[in-house]
Amino acid sequence: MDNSSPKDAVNMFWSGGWDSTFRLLQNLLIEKKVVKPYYLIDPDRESFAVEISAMREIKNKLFERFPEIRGRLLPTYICGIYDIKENPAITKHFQIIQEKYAFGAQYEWLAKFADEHKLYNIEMSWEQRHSLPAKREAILPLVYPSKYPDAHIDPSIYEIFKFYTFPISNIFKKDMIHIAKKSGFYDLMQLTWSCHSPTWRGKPCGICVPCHDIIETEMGHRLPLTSKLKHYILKPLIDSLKKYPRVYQLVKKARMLFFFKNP
Amino acid sequence: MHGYYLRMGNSASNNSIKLLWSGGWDSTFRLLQLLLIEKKFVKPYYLIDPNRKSLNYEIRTMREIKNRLFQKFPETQKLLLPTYMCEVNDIKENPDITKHYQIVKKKYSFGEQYDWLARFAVEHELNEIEISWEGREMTTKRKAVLPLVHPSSDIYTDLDPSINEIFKYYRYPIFYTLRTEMISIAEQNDFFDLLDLSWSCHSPSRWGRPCGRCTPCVTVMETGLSYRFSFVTKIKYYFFKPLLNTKKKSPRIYRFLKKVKNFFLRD
Repeated sequence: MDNSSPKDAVNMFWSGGWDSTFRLLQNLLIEKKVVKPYYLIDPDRESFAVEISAMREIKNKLFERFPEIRGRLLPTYICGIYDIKENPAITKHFQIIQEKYAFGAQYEWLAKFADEHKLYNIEMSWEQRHSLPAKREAILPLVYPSKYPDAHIDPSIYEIFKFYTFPISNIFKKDMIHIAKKSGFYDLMQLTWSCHSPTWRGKPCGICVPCHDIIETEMGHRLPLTSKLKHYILKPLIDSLKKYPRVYQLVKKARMLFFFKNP
Repeated sequence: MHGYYLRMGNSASNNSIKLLWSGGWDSTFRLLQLLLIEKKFVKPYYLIDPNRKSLNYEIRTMREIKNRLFQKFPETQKLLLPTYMCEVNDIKENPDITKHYQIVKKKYSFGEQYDWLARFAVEHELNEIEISWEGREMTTKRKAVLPLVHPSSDIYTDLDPSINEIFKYYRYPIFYTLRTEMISIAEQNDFFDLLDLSWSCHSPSRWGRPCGRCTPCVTVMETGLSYRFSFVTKIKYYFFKPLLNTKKKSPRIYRFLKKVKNFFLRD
């Protein structure tokens, strides 16, 4: 079973979200590169099936509109995160940085996966932001190596993030819209999926971090009215409820009772 | 998790039994039988069909079964290799296979998965990959495949060439094992709790319950595993059974009723 990609292929993580889809299309349609996408399934993330559907839809439309790129977009390598090899060294470094900067668990398994498959220079689609959280600032020397040539990097940060390049770290989400429109692939960008907790009917929740980011970056037009209403009415309620953790947990449990989701 | 396999290089992978595993009852039984009774290396394959509403459930189920298995029988960590996953749309087109599939579909009404499964097997040069067709009454479909189930037999020689082209890649190790027998084997070998974690329904309800209407649910009810369903699912099964019969007897009425349903329950 060969999953290796040709030497000239660009390896990148693709989840069907706005940023990684933009980079995929930029690689294929503007930079005319061969691309090998990687997608890791986290079964705890409620959105993974919708993400896979979004990727399929984008691919179908892409091949329909630009049949010439068929040979340049290689099959997506898909792997369950529970199948990634244990790596105590990476886990140790991750625990250090998690304590310091509260990084999400995905950065541990992404690094373990990259190390297991010897993926160096795999592209991570982090977009440019006006204000960066502290954790992102810690990685700046890796994201912009030319801007910070002599900057000190925390060794644990380095061990976790050394596998990636950050090719769109100087592009704002709004600039992506202009580039996509200019290059004729904005309609494909509309097919992306970002929400982490889609509703049963397959609509964005309006409450999770990616949905919040969409509204914050003035791209609210991507969300349906119901999701926007949830964002403006339900989210402040949930946020205030979070100040009382015990009540919040109780409400969450009650919700789980009625909206049982896991098998 | 699978460090032993990785240390062994490709030898474990080469000696392994290749198995199509979806987290369903039959393929999970075969997986556990191979690992716990036959002590074989197993390389599972799972093809992702995003159109299937149960995708979430199948992947979570496989993860759950793996976790519990490794907890209960830690020695299986060496034997069970990582699952190879592939999206159905990424499988290479193969007009020959598709042509043969169209023929067998017309003759025996096989589901479209047998087209992409065969294309996948050809693309990845897989021969003798195990498919978990369980024992049940002999239908026209099953009769057509019999010569492939018994490749060295002199009795079953009448093989349709298109059936051969679509089904020649597989082995059928549990073709005659009834589900009720699987229960006894699983209980004898102390893996019934793991088998019972399996998920079969193709269209789970909003509340995470089996629908009681899809083909796997109907099979569950008809093969002596009805204890797996809740009261609600059983009611659905008995309520919709006449409707499913309508599908066979009067497809036009069935299509009309489906349209009415979609009109009221559209997203």
